[in-house]
Amino acid sequence: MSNLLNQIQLIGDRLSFVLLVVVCAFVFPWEANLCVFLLLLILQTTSSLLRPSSAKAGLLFRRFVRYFLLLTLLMVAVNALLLREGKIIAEVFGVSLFQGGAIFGLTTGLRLLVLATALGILFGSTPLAEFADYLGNVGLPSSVVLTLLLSLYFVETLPHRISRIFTAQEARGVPVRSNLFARIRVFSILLMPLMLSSIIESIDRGMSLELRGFHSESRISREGLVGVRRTISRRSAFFLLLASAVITLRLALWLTQ
Amino acid sequence: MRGWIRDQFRREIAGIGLPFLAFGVALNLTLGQLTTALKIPMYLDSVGTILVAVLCGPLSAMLTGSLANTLGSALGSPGMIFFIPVVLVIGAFTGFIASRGWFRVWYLVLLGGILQGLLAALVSAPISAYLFGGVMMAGTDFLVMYFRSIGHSLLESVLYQGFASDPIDKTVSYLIAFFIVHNLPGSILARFYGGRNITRPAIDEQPPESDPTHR
Repeated sequence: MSNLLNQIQLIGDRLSFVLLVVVCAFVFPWEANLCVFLLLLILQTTSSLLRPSSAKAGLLFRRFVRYFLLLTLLMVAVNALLLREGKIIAEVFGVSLFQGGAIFGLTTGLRLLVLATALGILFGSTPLAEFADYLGNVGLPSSVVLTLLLSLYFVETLPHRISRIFTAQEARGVPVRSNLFARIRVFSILLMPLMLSSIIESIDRGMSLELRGFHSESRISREGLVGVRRTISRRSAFFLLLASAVITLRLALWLTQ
Repeated sequence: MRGWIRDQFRREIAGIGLPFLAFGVALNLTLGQLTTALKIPMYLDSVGTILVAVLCGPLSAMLTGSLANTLGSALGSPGMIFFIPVVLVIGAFTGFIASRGWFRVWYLVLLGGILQGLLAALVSAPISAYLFGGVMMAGTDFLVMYFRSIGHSLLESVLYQGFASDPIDKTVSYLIAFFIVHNLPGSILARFYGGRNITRPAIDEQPPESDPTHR
């Protein structure tokens, strides 16, 4: 019971921290967002709240950040090249790069980088099954939580099914390497067995849910079973207050300008 | 209103609906694998949402799209979470036109796909422009670059790119969904709340107007 409460509190803290970071990403200028990004990288390795839940999650997070760093650099380059505002900051092989475009690229790129890093930290430190459990405990309808968990199961099994069907249909002579229109037609032919097998599985699962009284009005809720209280921890309250303060400050600045 | 939404959602997910909704979420996320294998230059990432909208209803389709984008963010594409408003529109619009019987005939499906593409482009353009600066690391970025290089603003360029590519993508997705649902056996269609979106009620099922015993 105390373990469950601890877990709920931890995930709640992470969510409110991510909310604070999201607010900062939209409100702060690019220089501050660069600092927030670096701070997030440090916190991700030092804070027990935000550390990846497994080595695999850590690896995914690093790959994730690398991808978004690359995207940010690309955004800066593309905007500096195409947005011809301000003075020329550099010339590469006779192509001029403009300051206005570079700053716009930095602003949007770093905002995206901070948002992506915050989301990466949230999902890297919280396994999805635990996250779904948390959502159920804080009052999300059980049908939504069950859908999320079932989706995770399908996401894991569908790629194997798809590759099996693809190989089988190719062996039967379906023109998978023909022209574009033929390939679009083949797409439906490949999708049909996938659909039918998944519908049959859905029928079985739907039936077992009905038999267990899942859709019944008188079903006992999980909350009723474990008696979880919906409270906000001090840490969460602090993050939420900070987020509200940032929004208020930004609004005050905007109104006085 | 809240009560209506709850009751409607319950009707949509009853029986086979809920597991199928989960399948729709997974289909949205994994279909990319098939398009890559077949080298089809399209996203087709909303086929699951469209199928759920037609076979179950608009509310479950909106949930399918939102969950798919949330899960997609958690599984490695964080940008997806910001496009939840787009999938909400896709789910609601497709569910609405399916309930009006548009998925019974191919030409209405074609028209629906084009309208859906335009609508999706309108909703996604501000998100793509202001949050991503028009760069999505996809082939369509070249179109944005082209429009910007000929003097259009960022929002205009992203909007034109959406108008150029989204209707094609959504029309193909609609046609694929149309082909699939019309090839499903009647016994399976009957299990879905939205099964009547596809099949016309049989003549002998309609109550005769002169039948005084029919209530």
